[in-house]
Amino acid sequence: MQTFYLKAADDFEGWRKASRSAFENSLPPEMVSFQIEGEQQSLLDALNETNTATMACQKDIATRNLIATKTFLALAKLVVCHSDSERFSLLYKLLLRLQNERNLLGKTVDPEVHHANALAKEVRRDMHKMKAFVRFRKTDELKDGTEQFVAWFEPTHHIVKATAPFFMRRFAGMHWSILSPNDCVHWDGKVLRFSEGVPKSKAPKEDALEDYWRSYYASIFNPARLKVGAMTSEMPKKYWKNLPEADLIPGLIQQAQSREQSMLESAPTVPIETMMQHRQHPVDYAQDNPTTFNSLEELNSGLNGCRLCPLYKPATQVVCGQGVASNDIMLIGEQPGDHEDIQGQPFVGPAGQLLKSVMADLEIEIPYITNAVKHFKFEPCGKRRIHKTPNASEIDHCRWWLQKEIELVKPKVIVAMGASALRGVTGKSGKISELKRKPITLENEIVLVVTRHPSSILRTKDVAQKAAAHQEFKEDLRFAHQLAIEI
Amino acid sequence: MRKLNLQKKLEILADAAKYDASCSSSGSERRSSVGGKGIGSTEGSGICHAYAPDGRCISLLKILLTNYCKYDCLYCVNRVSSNVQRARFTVEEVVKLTLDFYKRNYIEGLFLSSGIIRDADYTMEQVVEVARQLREVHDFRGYIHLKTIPEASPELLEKAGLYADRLSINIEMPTEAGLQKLAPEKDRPNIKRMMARLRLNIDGFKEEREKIRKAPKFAPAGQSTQMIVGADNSADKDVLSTSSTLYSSYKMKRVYYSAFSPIPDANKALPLIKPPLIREHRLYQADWLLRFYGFNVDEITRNQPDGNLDLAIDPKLSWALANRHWFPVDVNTASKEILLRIPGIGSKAVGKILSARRYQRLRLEDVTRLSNGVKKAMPFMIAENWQPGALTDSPNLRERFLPPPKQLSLFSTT
Repeated sequence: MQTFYLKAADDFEGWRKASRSAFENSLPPEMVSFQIEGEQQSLLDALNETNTATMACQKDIATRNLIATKTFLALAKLVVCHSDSERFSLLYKLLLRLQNERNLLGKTVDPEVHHANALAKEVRRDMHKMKAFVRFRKTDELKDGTEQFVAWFEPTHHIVKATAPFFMRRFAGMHWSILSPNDCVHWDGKVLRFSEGVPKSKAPKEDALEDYWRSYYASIFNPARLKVGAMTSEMPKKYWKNLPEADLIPGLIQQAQSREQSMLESAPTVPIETMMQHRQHPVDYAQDNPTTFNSLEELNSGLNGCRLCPLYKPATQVVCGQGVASNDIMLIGEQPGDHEDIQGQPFVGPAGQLLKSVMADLEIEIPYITNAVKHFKFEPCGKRRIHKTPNASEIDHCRWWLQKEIELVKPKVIVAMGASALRGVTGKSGKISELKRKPITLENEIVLVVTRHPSSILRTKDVAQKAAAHQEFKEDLRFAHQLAIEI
Repeated sequence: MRKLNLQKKLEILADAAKYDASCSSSGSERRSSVGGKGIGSTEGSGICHAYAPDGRCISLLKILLTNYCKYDCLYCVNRVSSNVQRARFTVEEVVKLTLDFYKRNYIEGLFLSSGIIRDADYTMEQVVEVARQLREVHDFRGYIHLKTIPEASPELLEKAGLYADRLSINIEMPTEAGLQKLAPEKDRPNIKRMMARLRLNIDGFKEEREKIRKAPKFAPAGQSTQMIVGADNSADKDVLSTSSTLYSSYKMKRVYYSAFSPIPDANKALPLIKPPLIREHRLYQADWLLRFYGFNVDEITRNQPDGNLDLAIDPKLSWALANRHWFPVDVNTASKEILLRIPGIGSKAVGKILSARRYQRLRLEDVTRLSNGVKKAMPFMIAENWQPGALTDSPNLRERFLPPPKQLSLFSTT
């Protein structure tokens, strides 16, 4: 049996050197024991000891094909912080196995790997609780205004040094010390310093602000929803003795029921008149809905309150048409999409960008643009919304608005992009491909031109087909523009 | 009027803020105070510095700037018609309290909200000023969550997002009808438009940062919202479909569910009962199924005749019992999507199963090492040495999972 001496309970570097040296000497795990300097050796190890001469751990022997993966070292760094007395031997065993089983740590159901992971998990939890439950007390203020704080904390494992950098990152601008039975750490604004453990009596006893904290703790508690188990599972009682708020807990629990009861039973009070004078006006959802509109502004404000079909419920807002009245051309799409719904403007998404680039190519100004359906219809899918085609009933409900809009815009030519727009304008369904370049004169002398919706171009995957569709769409718009000039 | 001291104000304005469930301080960027002039850091995951006996975590100093309010939302302790004691902090008082609490490691930062006084912009300005002073005067790098007022101007909203880690606006009720009934001054379309504007800002600033690395961040921890459960008669189906709309439309980081609980000086038009805590818990479980397990609202609620979740068992188990034809699932061969459907097996355990089975075929005891929910999973899974046999389709399977009946006591007082 060979014993290796380590400088401290969390001496990762010491363990690393010792393991390397044991490996060099081809020592199997059962022939190796690790001993922390100053700590009592276990009786069993002492009896088994055959070679009392300590190996020189400081000696840096060149590594001879000893392999340790990054994940293993990260795990080992955590495991050495555990209070389990077998942790160093366990790590040495794993290190030896790692030489032949490079994927060892992936085998999470292996008993030794599982054990090491469990130890690491307990260490991480203890570190997390230290970050949560350290309570600083103010001790002094320097002339330049720098405040000094001291905390007392009793960790379960050897985690003070490992957790110290967190406190440095968080409290860089103040001077502080965290005292504990085994290790202490100090920050003076420049470097972290470690020292030996001290008794609790060295820590400050109070801080004037703790009364405020206790007030806050008591007030933020809702007595009507007592869940003591949920509290103690996350804030175990072993930490309570160093938490200034903890002695309030029994009283808060005890009074909870009577406080709740008195809330339930108390008689209603009369509101204070002077307060009520400042009351905000309730929202008027049921504005009277006019049926005639003298301008697009009036129409749009009417559209805002539309409840004709249920599409308004999940949508953010109604998306009205855009452009000025008496435009020669009126472009009608299907419905707003995700971008349009969020921004409240038509044709600002990918299809709109395509449309605008085609118009720019043709050197045509953007005419009046709108949609057959004014709310976005969609299916939620995680963090995205999937577009859903509006059904005939939804298009027909919205048609009421579209007809009024057409009357107000009075275009010479309407371009219906896609089947929904066609139905919105004519009230009838039809095949886009059959109606292309065949202008229809509507009752009100307006000429209807039919084309595909630009989003259908975006959806086309085949490159050649996509280019053809794009070109055709462009020609359709040129055709409509020409028609508007001729009329 | 007698002037209140700071400690009394803190009591009133913390009491007034406690009905907001959110106390999260996670999901922001990594920041440290090293090299700065002050204190504060955020490192991704939040820290709960204490727990109250209501089981809720205390991570932030959660207070209102004032509990004076012009609105008369029936469920709210601060409504204009209530006779609770009123108080108002100055901006400087909130700044100092936040820093003093933070230095003692009581909190991760500040969650500031406010009753609406004068008008939306005036109130919002005060809230933003607190955040500005913390960031600009004191170089505070801890977490800040600001409640946004739906009617506030776009300029103020943008300022708020540049100082805060997270912004939130409460949707309050699952349906517009519910909001209209209980919070008549709140305007649902306005609330949704404000959420849309937040998403637009969050997305816009993110895009900008992809081009210019030094460009400022806007609310790096995103936006969240809260729904009150049990104050109106909405079913869980309504609650969940509203949530999934909010998640998909505005990229919410979280939707919080708050079981309506009795408040001091309550309006008697409301159902003053014990808060439906189990229902709240089931809604959170269902919310998780929607976000991390690939379920949709219809699947979870379809088998419930009234559209409410089963209170006795968790929603995944409830779904599995109604969809036995999916099971049993072989943990050694099933895909990730299918493994996620096994009751009792969480998403972390699924990850571990996928990793472990690359090296060996998993036995029941192996799965037990990877998950704490194997007892629940057993009727629904196959392992190397485990076949559930007739158990999967056994007619009284549900009974196996019910909590043991409570023994009635002759001397019980309740």
